[in-house]
Amino acid sequence: MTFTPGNQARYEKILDHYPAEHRRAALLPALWLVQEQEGYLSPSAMEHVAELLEISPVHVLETASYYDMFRLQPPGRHDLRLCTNLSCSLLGAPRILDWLRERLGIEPGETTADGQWSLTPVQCLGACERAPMMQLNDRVEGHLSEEKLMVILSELS
Amino acid sequence: MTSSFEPVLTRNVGIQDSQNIDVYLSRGGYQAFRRALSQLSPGELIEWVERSELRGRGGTGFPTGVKWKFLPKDIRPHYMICNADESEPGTFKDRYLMENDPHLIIEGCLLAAYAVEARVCYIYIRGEFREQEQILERALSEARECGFVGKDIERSGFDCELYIHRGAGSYECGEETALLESLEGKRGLPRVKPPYPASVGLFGCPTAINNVETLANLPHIVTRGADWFRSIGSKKNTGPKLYCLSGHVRRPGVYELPLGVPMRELIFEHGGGIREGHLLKAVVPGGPSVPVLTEKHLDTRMDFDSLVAAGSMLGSAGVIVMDETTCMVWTAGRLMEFYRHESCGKCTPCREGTDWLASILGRMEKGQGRPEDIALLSDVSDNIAGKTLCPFGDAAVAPVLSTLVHFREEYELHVRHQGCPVSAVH
Repeated sequence: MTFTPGNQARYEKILDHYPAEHRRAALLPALWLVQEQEGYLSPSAMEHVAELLEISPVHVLETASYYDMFRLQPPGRHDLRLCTNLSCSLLGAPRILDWLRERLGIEPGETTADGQWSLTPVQCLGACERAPMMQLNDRVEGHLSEEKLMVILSELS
Repeated sequence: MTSSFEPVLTRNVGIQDSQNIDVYLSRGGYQAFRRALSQLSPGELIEWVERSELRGRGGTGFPTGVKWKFLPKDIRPHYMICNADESEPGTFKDRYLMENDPHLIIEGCLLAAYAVEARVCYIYIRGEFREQEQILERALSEARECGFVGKDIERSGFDCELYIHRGAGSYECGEETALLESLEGKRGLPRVKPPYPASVGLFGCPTAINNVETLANLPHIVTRGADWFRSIGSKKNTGPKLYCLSGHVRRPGVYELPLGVPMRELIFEHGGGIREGHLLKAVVPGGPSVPVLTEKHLDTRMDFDSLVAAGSMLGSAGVIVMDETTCMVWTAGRLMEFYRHESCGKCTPCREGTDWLASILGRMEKGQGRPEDIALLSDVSDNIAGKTLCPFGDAAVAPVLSTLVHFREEYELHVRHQGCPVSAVH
């Protein structure tokens, strides 16, 4: 894996944000660029980033594997991240999770066989006034109900 | 008490194109920064903020001016960091500020950087706030174009660069030293303190770290003065405050009120009370990392010192309201699952203890609780609290210990009846 020319330019700009002797600080931003480009962090992508930042690949893996949002496996095309923390659970998140499991035929943490849907229960996403809520790819969907999910799912199917 | 109160932190919310710099400027934006650059030395600005008695809005309530004074004058460079890693459950005030008034945050960052004489400021934003990050990036480009960010700002000789650094999903990174590790490109594990970030922070340099809401107060303190700020709230608990209301309330949302608004007023007047046909049972006053309170605490003032006196804390002011249908064992279990998931794993008591607590609470809720489990919950909790490098350990046991105090009979019923008595009723 290598960066597209556009992303290579963005990467070089990011490097300017940090002192030259602390270029490892660019690791999270570099991994975000990879994930945006490739959808996930493959071993070869992490090796490439390690080379760019002059650190060992295991340091990249060590860091990447710590953070929930970095994906080490390719996700489904539509990534459902349902908040199951207290405010959302008080207003029905467990029921919504059960409904999604049944509807998609997968367990939390899995991706459908056709690669279309991933379902991940996540911790508070900081939008509790719209509980129960989820993140669907980059957008936030709040005040979830079975009816609303039915519409969202059929629109994307 | 709030009738004469004029909101300032949220004054631009609801104004059309409030994210736009022209709108921000037309409403007096960047005047405070200009004023500080032309009329105040960094030291005078720190004095100004110290006199206002502003205390950090991120959770600990440490006086901001005092925090800044800890940065040694003879070691350079200094760094400024805006902590926008808002991840405490039930908390969404910083997100609200960033998406509605990004220039207020940028101006706050610039003022803080000027005060601590930092030429670089990083805004560390939680990874999930993608939309807010993009809003801030756009605002930052505008501020740079207008000459508020960069070299020799407003011909003052002050240089300051601002960068947005995106996290990637880790609650622990809201803790100052874990945030520093994360910003340096590592796993977000806390550091041993001392040294504190003020002396050895980012890249080993003196660093000031302040919460988004704390920084949002600065332009108003400069414009309106320390006396104005001190006139809101009470002694040592001054200024406006953003409260986040969620759970079983009729009108969840962010409310700007004087620091120290009574809990009853917040929930029943501003939040519209408990959902139809239900009664209040318990309140998390400042995110689940602080002890749960009950109806008998409703007249407590929601400020730093009053909530400590009531046995809890203001924390992040993430107020989660629960009605009588809520099982407290389930609540403690749900929150413990969160802490188990988010424990960074560095300190054994927290890593292992949260796992044990979640398992015990889980089996009690499922009707498999053992008579010795209640004592075991206290025992495991005692072996976590005060025995970890960062406050995470203390935070993790707050829900279980406080519900054991206020709702002990509910735990006992779970064991005696081998099931959840609350969910059985409803």
